[in-house]
Amino acid sequence: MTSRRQELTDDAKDRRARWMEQVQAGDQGAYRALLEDVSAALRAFLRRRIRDQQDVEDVVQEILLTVHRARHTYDPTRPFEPWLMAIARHAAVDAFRRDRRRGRWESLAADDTPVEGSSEDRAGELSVSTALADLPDNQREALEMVKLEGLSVEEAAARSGVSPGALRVRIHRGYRALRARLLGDRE
Amino acid sequence: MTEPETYRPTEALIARLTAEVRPVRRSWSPSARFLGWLALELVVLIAALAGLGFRPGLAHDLGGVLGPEVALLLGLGLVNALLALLAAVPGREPSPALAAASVLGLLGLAVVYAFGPAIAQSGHQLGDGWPCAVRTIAVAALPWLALLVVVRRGATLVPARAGLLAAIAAFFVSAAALRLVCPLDAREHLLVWHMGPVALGLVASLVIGGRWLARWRAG
Repeated sequence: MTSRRQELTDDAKDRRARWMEQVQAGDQGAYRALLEDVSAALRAFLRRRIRDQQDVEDVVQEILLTVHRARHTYDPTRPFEPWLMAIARHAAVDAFRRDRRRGRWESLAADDTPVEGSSEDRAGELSVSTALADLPDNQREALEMVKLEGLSVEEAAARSGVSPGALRVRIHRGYRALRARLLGDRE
Repeated sequence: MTEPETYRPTEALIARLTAEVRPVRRSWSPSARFLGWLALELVVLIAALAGLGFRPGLAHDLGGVLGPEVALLLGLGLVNALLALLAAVPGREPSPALAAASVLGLLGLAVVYAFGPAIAQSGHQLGDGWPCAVRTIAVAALPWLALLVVVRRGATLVPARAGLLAAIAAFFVSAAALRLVCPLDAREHLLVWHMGPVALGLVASLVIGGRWLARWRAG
């Protein structure tokens, strides 16, 4: 009986392995075909693990970049899928860990009340909005676009004229700087 | 109504990667790399043993506990070299349990040293044993660095584990070689000056591996 998990025919598997071998020889047509083909499969794989559609797309991009950088390690005499799926699984786990960390920063930034402390302390503490205003322009704008205006990372990146990866770095650094400003003096 | 044209980052990325693709030299298989590393390790061992000389009564001692001890260290070292090289290829990473098993093997040996029969060797002071630590590190250094470089040229998804495996390989083989050289069997000497540098190398490689071997993903 054919397993329900078996999503690829042997033919498709052979085709990808063949494409990958051609990619190692520098064939651009085979590369485009391979990346488009695996992107669709990766989305299906990741949607079962990541809820947010935007995050799925981010992880797909990360996997494609990793495939690009690791393409010299693929051995055409071996199946392609275990090689690809190992990369995909690690990217998904990395995304999950990052998301968990990011979740903590987000809940911190979303809370616009002063941090806990004595009444005397509170008077001197920074509110989130004050701390936000103190951030470098590029980090503040990145946080405002994504968290206040609700733009996707890609939309915000396009508006800023930077890559989505660079924008994510700005957001992450912005969260870190916010945290340092809000809690740093208390620690 | 037509849908507004939107920026599609994944498609843009595919276009960029496609334009960038060039022929690449395929990595050697892990078994071919292992044979290359083994050749280097043999050269290092021959040079080390020729330079340091064998302990007196080695043939007799190998018939006792020393024989299995050296065989265990050598076996674990060689197996872990292959595992480190496998860790450089996506989809072929050894399980964490395999690396843990080797570390447990080392701990087991340490327990045997610690609680085994005490061997008193007259005229020996614990502080005199430091050359063994230096020699263990010196004999391990080149094979260890070579393994790290080879793994770095691959694409490991488990950098810390790969670093640990590389250190187990080089330092265990070195520890085996030092047992053939050093005439001292006192437990304190073995624990401090033979096991100590091995443990140090494992920790250092775990940390270095976690950082340096992961850099390929950053581009």
